[in-house]
Amino acid sequence: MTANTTTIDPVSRDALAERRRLGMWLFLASLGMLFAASLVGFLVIRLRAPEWPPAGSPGLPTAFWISTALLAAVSALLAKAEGAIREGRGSRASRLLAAAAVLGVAFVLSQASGWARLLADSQLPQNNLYLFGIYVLTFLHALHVIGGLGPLIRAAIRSGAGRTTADDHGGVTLVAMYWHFLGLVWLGILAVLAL
Amino acid sequence: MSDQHHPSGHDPAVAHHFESADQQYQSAKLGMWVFLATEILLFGGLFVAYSVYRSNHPEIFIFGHRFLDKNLGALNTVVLIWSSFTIAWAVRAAQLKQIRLLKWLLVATMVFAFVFLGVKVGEYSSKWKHGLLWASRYAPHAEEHVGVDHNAAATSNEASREVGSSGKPAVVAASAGSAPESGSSRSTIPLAPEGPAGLAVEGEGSAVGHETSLLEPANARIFFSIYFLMTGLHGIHVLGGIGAMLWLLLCAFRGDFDGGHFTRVDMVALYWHVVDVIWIYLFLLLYLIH
Amino acid sequence: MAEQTEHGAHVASLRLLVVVLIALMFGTWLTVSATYVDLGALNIWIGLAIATGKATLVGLYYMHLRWDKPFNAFVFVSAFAFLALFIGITLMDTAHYQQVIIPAWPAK
Repeated sequence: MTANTTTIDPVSRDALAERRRLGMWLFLASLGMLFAASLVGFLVIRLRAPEWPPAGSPGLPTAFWISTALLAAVSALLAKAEGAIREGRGSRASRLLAAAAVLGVAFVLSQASGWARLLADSQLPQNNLYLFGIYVLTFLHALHVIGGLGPLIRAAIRSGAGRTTADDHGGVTLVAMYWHFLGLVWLGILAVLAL
Repeated sequence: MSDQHHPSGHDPAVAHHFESADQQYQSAKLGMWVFLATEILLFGGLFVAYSVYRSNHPEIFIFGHRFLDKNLGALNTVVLIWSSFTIAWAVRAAQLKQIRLLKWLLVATMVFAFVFLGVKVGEYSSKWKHGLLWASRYAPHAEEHVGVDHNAAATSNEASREVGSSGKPAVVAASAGSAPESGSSRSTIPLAPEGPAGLAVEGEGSAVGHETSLLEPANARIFFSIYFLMTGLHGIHVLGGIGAMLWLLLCAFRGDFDGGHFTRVDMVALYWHVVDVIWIYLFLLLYLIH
Repeated sequence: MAEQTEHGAHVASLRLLVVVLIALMFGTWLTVSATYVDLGALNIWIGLAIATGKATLVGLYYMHLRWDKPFNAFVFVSAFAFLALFIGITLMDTAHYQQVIIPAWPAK
């Protein structure tokens, strides 16, 4: 898929990186629409409900706050990895990326824990939309986290194998953009749920 | 953002259309100052609305401001001042390549910003609970929904309601279950406490205009319209500032400031100081009305 | 006090930043306590004066205007100047027509 970009002259290489970043921005914009739509849907449910949160609904599980911390850590690790790649330290970047992947998996686990707790604590009637709304939002997000693990692990392997140099960030920047975006979306979901 | 080495040998941190790093820096500064001037004018428009309305209907402000807690406003002022201090220090840290200190100072500034927003959320929800909202949503009531429908009577110029069951401006807890006496509609909306002890004028508070200020004027809702619009717009700017600082934090982790390129931090700091300055005026004009 | 970065940009000393912080806190305390002293119409102007003093300190020292090219300060101040015109002229105008709008309004 990728040409051997390390031998291309600097100007074209910059242009290539620029194009890829633009592509990522456009992709994130479209994802943003998806998440925005789900948020709007949730808000419609919330604003039309006679009582919010509905009686018998469980509070936000602490697991969700742990999730938040995990995503923040992922963003920090990825930023560090970007910096490491720029300095040509591929193996350090690889370690950071791998750590981020581990935290990404931990995020999914903490989400699952949160879902389980919500189910257990809920006293809501079966046809109540409160939990449904929460699940839709967080599940959609978690799916994208799982999807993001693939490229993240691939980036970790590539930089570890020395196939990225200071001149070729090997998609680390793109992966970082994606995960920062997921972090922001998570903050948006939290805001809508917690406030 | 590219740090790759260019064959022409010129400093990669300087964009092509600038002659030197210094020119680039000065351009960024000028651009930011022009933007800040537009921000002043943005809020300025709202200050004009405030000035006109206050000069024409001072009674609305004298009445309305009593529902704002001066202590919380002062707390928020202090919090923002401290946040200005930490971000100014952050600029210094970035200039001196003290990256770890920079990260902590950015975090500190964000913490202060969140505290500010938290206090505002508290204030807003208290207003919401008591129906002290803007324009057509203005429907003041005590928490037990014991209150009078102010909407109907507010249209008449003669409408006046006595606020506060005892006449004392101290915190009046909404008396549980107290029904309005027929005929005389007594609102039991709790008023904000008067200032920190020791600074307050002894006794019932200022005697000047005390009795009249308790009467709810027609169009009292305008005060709250202005309050929510101005502090709301300001709050949105605080939120934006937090976002910018988060970005700076990520940049710091990425190592963007290791080489001493501090311009980004400087620009965000300039924005933040303006947010602080605007609040200083908001606090004075909305909370500290005499 | 005359620290500089490699490119010659001025670095504010920590001591200066702290001094300004203390001055700003003092100004806040002053403003709040001034509201407990009744000086009638003067109160708002005193408040505004203190607020402007604080803004000046923030602008000069935290925002670096003291050591910047003067044009930046000029841009910033001109925004306030235009704002003053905006408020001033609007108030003049509204005061002039108040009696027409509200007959009972006391003529100035």
